[in-house]
Amino acid sequence: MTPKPDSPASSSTENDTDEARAALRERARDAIATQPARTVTILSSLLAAQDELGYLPIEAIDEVAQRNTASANAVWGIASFYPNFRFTPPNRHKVEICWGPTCHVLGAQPILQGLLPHLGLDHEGETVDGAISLKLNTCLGVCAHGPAMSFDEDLVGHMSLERAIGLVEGVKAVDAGATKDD
Amino acid sequence: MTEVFELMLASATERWIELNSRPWIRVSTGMMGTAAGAGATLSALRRDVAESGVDATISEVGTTGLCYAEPLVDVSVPGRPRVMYANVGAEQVPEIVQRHIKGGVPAVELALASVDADVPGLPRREQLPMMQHQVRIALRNAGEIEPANLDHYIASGGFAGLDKALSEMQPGEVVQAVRDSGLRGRGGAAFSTGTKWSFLSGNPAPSKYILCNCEEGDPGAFNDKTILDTDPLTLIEGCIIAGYATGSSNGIVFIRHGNDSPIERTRAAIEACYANGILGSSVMGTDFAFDIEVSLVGESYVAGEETALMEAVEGKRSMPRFRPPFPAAYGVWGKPSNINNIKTLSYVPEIIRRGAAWFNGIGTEKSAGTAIACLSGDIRYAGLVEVPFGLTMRQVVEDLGGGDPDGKAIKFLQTGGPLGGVLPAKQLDMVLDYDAMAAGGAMFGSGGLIVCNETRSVVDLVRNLLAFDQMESCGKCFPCRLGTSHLLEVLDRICAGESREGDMELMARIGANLRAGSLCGHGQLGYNPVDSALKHFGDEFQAQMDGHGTLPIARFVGPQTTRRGAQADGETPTATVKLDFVAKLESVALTSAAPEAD
Repeated sequence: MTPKPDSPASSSTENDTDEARAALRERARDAIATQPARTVTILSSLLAAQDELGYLPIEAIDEVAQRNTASANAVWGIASFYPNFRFTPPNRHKVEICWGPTCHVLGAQPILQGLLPHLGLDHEGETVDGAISLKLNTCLGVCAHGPAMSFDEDLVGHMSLERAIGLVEGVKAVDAGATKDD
Repeated sequence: MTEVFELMLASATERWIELNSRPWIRVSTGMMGTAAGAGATLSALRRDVAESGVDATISEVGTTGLCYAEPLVDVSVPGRPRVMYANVGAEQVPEIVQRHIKGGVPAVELALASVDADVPGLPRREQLPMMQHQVRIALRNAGEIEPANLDHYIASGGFAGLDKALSEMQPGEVVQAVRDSGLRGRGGAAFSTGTKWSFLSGNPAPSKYILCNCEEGDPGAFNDKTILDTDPLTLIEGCIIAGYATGSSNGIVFIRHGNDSPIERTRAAIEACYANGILGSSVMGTDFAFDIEVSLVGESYVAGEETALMEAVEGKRSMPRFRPPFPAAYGVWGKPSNINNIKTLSYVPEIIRRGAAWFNGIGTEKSAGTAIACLSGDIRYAGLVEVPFGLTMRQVVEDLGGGDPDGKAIKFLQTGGPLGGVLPAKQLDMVLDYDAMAAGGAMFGSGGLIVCNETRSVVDLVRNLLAFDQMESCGKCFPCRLGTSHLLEVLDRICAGESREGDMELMARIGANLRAGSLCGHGQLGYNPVDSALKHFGDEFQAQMDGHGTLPIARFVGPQTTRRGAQADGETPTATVKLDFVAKLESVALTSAAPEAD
């Protein structure tokens, strides 16, 4: 039995209609059904759903629970354990900054602390203009090129504050172009 | 030799010769190359080579380990010396294409080194400072072949070890060979791999698992990801041999979600093996069956612990299990399992192909073979090196790594990952050897060597390591969950110049509790960074605590999340959203009946 599309709204975005939420559920279900893992688990299903949606809405949690014959509580228990899962829609672009010890030694903190006011943030999180989600990453895995950041999953090493600001403005400019095309 | 392999070898050799009869350009992409800007270099090369009209092959390979030289472009034109170009941006590409790829004459002033032949004005690759002393076994194909290309791998000696095991050796002989080779686990514990395998081979259960740990959550270590990025087939071959030796038919390669290029390359390599009868119901035409799949985990450092890894494979929270029962009796899904680090398994194909005595002859008496070290931080030649055990840390850091890029004095190394410690410069003559390092109070761990020069504050670095340990504590044992948080609080106030009377004793007490009261290594070793820093740099710590610290410590902005859903500094918007989410979840759970069975 399929539960009703969600009743209480999580936030007041224009996407928060019954149709939009049904569409989210549909996408989550498809992503879970077509995931690349041969052995399907709650974790593999959560990863597949978030890869598709960018976050785990309540519908995705519920779909994962149904696919794995688990309770929504059990699924939430696993999802909330791994910090790569998020439960609110991300902004349009994901920017990550590495705070691993190599990047730390090579100056990640001055970059982060310069970038935060530029984005109007106090710490990792979402900018109010909807453009950037900033996240600290424990290690981006390219220590030989530290300090490292990633912009919409593209790794960039040898970072400086000027370069970081330039790249942030660069990803925002992509949106400006896209809006004109629409 | 099995008939299947004989045919494969013949066709791979033929294609290898064909490949080398035309210009072949290798560009190191993957995580390392991409971070250095190889994407732009590759596009420019593709465009310019196409425009030049030269019939050349352009291959994306993994890093050579010479990360400081990336983006690295390796050009081989038939009949001419092969030349590697360093730090090639899109703007250097036209020159290299015109002069070398089209014209056949190396652009010496842009080049790093020649390979296999002398070019006037260029060093040979093995003469580069970073390549000296290197013996490449696990990294033998790094940057040399396309990562998931069976022909390239087989033409370079690949699958000969598996073929030898299948056609000439009984499973017990394979286990014995690995034991005789002296191979010890490269994940940190340094346990004899052959002995570990014998635990599993002695178990008569019909369904057994070989788990390969490539989780590599250690900041500062990038060798596991590099093996997957450069040569996943080595790992796959090692896995299959381990399966044959122990009578197991299932392999699981465990990688952290988000490392896209290693994941894609590993999946492509596994698919190629299935398509060519190397994996599946009949491995190389024999009656031995073996399957491998990739299992992804969310961000969790503790997932690298072997029982936590099994929990994650089962799709749960990666929290360690109690032992016993040990994995060889009760592992993933309750089935007998063997867990090896990817580096360990990547040595196996060459051990079988070239013999246990060959491997045992490399390195020191008790630490056979090579160590893969990841050099980063204040170092001229950052990247990966594979060196025989027995070298000193000084040789690795100063000779191969070239020391600090600006010639500053090296103050300490951070080794053994975030649960390791600091190794002061005065101990750089320590020999790279499991037992010698353990006796000297240091850890090699997974191979990350973070070099820090005289301008770096050890207190600041230790606080960073503890912030990691605190965030990554899985929360199962309270001495670790609370102890790491408490320790971080103390370090935070020391860094802020607000330390209190008795903080030194308090840290020692927390450390003792962590060590005594935690189930897994995360808590047991969590005090190591502080402990080793106090041992070697006690004066610097004391000065900072007394308000006379000479090295500046900047404000530290750490992550907001912990894995307990709680927040580091109380109520934040994210926490509120999560609470709201839970309330909603409950309302959905009420409307949704128990799911129907499939």
